[in-house]
Amino acid sequence: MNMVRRRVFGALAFGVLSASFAFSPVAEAQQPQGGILSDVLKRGVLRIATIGGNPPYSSLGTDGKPVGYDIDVANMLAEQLKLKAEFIVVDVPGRITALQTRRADVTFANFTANVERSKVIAFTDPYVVVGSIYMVKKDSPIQSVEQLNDPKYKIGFARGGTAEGISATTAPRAQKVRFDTVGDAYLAMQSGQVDSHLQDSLQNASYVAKDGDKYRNLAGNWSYEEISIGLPAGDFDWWRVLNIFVKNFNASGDNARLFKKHFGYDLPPIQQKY
Amino acid sequence: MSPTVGAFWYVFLTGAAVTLWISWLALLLGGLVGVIVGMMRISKWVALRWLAVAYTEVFRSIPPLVLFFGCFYGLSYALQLDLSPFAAATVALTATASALMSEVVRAGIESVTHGQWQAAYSSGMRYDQVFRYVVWPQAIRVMLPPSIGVYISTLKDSSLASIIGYVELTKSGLLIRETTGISFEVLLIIAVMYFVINYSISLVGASLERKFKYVH
Amino acid sequence: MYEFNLAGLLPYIDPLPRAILLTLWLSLLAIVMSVAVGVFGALCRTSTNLIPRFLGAAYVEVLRNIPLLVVIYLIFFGLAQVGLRVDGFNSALIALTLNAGAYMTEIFRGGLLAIPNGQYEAARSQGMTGPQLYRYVVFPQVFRIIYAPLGNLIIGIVIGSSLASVIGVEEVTTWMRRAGDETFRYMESFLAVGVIYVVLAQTINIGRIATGNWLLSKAPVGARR
Repeated sequence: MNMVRRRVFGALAFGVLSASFAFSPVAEAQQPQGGILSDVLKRGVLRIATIGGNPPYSSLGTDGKPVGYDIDVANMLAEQLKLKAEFIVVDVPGRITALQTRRADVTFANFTANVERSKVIAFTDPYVVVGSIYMVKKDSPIQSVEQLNDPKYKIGFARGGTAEGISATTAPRAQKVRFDTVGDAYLAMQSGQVDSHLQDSLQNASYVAKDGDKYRNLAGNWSYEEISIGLPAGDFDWWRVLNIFVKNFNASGDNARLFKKHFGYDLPPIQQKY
Repeated sequence: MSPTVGAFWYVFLTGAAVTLWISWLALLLGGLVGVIVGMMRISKWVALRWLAVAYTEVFRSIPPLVLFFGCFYGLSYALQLDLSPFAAATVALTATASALMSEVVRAGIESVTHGQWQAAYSSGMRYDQVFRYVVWPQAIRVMLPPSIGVYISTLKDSSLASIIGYVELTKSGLLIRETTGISFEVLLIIAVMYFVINYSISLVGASLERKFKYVH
Repeated sequence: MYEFNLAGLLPYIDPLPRAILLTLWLSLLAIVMSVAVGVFGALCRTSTNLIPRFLGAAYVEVLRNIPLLVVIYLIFFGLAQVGLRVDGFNSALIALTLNAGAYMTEIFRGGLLAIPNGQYEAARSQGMTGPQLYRYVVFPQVFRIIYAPLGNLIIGIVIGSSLASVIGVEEVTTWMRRAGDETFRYMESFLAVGVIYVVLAQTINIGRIATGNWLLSKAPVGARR
């Protein structure tokens, strides 16, 4: 009995010890404002928040590590800063939380810059510009978004993203089915659980390129979204470094090359004509 | 074009290891908290007893999914705590497990009859001595089988950590499924893995139960 | 410093009653259906025939050892892939029923096993028919044994219904996640929904305790001894 008890207590002590490592109050990470750049350089590690299940932006490789366009862009940034890249997989709303709580230094995750989010975090200039498109199965009876706007049809999308607002304005009467990831919403359309998937236009183009015989799009592009690097608010130096990276990345042809590699077609113009 | 499900065997196994680890950790921490709450439950003071009942009932009543959400998003924002998905999942699982464990501990201690306490006191033992030499050795035997049940239940609850992005067995499966586009087979593999793990634990538990059975 | 502001959730208050009703409706259907599954499962498990006994045991062991979340995904996404399409609400309902049914089976089996064979024989020798035997001899005793674990399991079903949120069913947990995501009032939405679940679960709990007291007061003279 004594042996058992000693072992139980040993295990308990070990558990407590490991749990205490798990907590690190933000006070430690939250240095005086403007310190992310020096923090990151001192640490030698760039902590990158990304989402899983969102190909070709980011998904899971066979070794369990994230792969995709966003991942390659983030790796390029880490390389130029001579830092080791460390990826943190979060969910869709977690992209904002990770920055607000300073758990991540940057977010690369098909991340749309908008005013609402800018109240709490910051964005760089865009590295791609996307829209939103309703995709249906090829044999679907739905021919237009007006027709889709009917309580008998279901629209699937990932919660916490921009699709929430877009579907509310473009098809207010249709049923909305919210999923945890973009991948879930896509698979739900594929298996017929929802009638339409409201998705990113570039992602859509890559789906169509791959499975064009199974799906088709409903006419209309319902948003203009600048996909940018997210960063914690209030750090000018860090924003300055990231923005220069984005400008050079766009101008140098690196972006065109990486985009083509992952999406299978040429990078559309980033500068929109108004 | 997409890799096959089999190519991800390493991700499946890593996921299983992570699931085993976090639920084990939560069981230990939950056991520790459970002992404290369970002891409060049988305390002489009414206030402590009520506090323990409230703790147990609250964490038994809130779905683990809601607790994960509260720990990860709620605490991150409210306390400005830098909680990783791992830490948030550990806290949430510990809360659930400790509520279950406090009941196990209480039942274990109460299984020792009043007569034994009186006998121990009358032979000149102090309160802490009675606990150490008379009550605990018997209570632990009673507590062991239901503790195995709590471990299995915690292991199953840990699947919910997937919703806050913690990459354990379920999340690994969901990510593989999104990458390959194959739902049925991947989910079936995950289900079989959970079954094998939990069923093995319950078999080990049953054999431990036989071994520890108190001989009257 | 964080400013606690429950009023931040006010714009989301309209769909909340509907969400609560959906949680209750889903739980209620799951309770009724899993009781049916449990009774049938328990009869299988206590059968004298080997085949139903084995099938009953296999069902219980498999469903008790797989997380409900995985079962929900398997039914909603997995079955749809192989051609069997079940919508979100019904997927959650089936998963909850299968999961709770396994525990119900064990609870009812425990109750049935507690009644010694002699009682069946005694009742038969008094000339009781099958239904009479179950109505007057078996059920009152079984109910006395199972009401407590049954109450806990019903709380478990209400709690389990929260998982329907992962497949887009608009119940209380979905409401919490949406309100949190859109207002960043995560702590507030968590606490609001936490209170709702505590109230639901404790209502059931009080019902369980009241049933216990009522049973005690109504105990037949023979059982009081």
